[in-house]
Amino acid sequence: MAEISCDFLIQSDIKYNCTDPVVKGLRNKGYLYNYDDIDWDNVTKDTTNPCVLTSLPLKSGAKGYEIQIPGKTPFTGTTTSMTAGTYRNVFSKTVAVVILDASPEISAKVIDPLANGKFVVVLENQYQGTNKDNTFQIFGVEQGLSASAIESDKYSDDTQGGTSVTLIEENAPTFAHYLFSESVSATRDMLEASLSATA
Amino acid sequence: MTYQDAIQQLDEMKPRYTSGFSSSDKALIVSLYEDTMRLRFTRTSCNDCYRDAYLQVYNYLKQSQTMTQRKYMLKRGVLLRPEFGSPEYYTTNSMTDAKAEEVLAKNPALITMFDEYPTDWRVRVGIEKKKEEPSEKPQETAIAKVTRINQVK
Repeated sequence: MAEISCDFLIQSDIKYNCTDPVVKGLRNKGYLYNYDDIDWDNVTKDTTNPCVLTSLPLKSGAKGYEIQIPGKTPFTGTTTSMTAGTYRNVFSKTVAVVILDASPEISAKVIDPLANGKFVVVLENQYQGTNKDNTFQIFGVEQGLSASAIESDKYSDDTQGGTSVTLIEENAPTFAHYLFSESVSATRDMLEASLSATA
Repeated sequence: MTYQDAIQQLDEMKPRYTSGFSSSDKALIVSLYEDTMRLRFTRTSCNDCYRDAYLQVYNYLKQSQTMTQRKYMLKRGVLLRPEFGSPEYYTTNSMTDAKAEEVLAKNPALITMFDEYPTDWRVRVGIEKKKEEPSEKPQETAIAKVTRINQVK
């Protein structure tokens, strides 16, 4: 198991990655899980880097849900920022989702639960990183994401009458968590399989 | 439907993979997806859902070589690699019963990674012997035994 230093000493150079220059943005598809549906007792982490989760097992009968947002800048408003604390500083992570659909079913099965539940979201970074392990970033691992704002503006040019939802994880001690096991394609297969339900 | 019939019908659908499946094609895909793989098919208007399900069913049947409804379901969100260094990996969608039993025979502790499995999985994978079933021949009671001996005399 990797040692986590409590001395907060930096352990690597800060350089520009000339081989794979960093690029901004997220892909159009994400994965959303109810926080309590995750079998946290059996979540596994990478032995060398505790920020990398190698599995995200779900409890019996539970499944994940897909988030599809079209456009060139999906999940606009997704940010991570530091908050100064009394004894140590923490991070606030925001995931911005727009629901481009409206119906009584969406209201009952999606928006009402989002307003009051606790969630984990996996998003795909446009930038995969040199080792490809930057591809899938997980939000909500430590405190869970919960809604901080939900708005439906019938004349909004952005949402076109849909609903925008802002999920936030506050007081997270870790800047970022990633999901990576074996390869990008294997991790993607794992995420896709998490969307299936038993017949 | 036999395994051979299913594979034959799926092979016949191949040319329609890009042009679009017929309604009977779709019905067969959904039936195999739900009955054999035990996964719920979400009906939407998109054709990709049927193409994805077709590929999953086809690959699953080719690997499992059987039409039996599967008994072992890997937990969602788990990627199971049979052995360290092996290029193979399995998810809920791709794990077959035969492969599950092969993996569990080598490493029974991996049962915690399964959501569903038969109660006698230890016997199936060969790490426990099947319990002897009680003989179906009824035991002769003491009175019946005395009666039989007296009749012989």
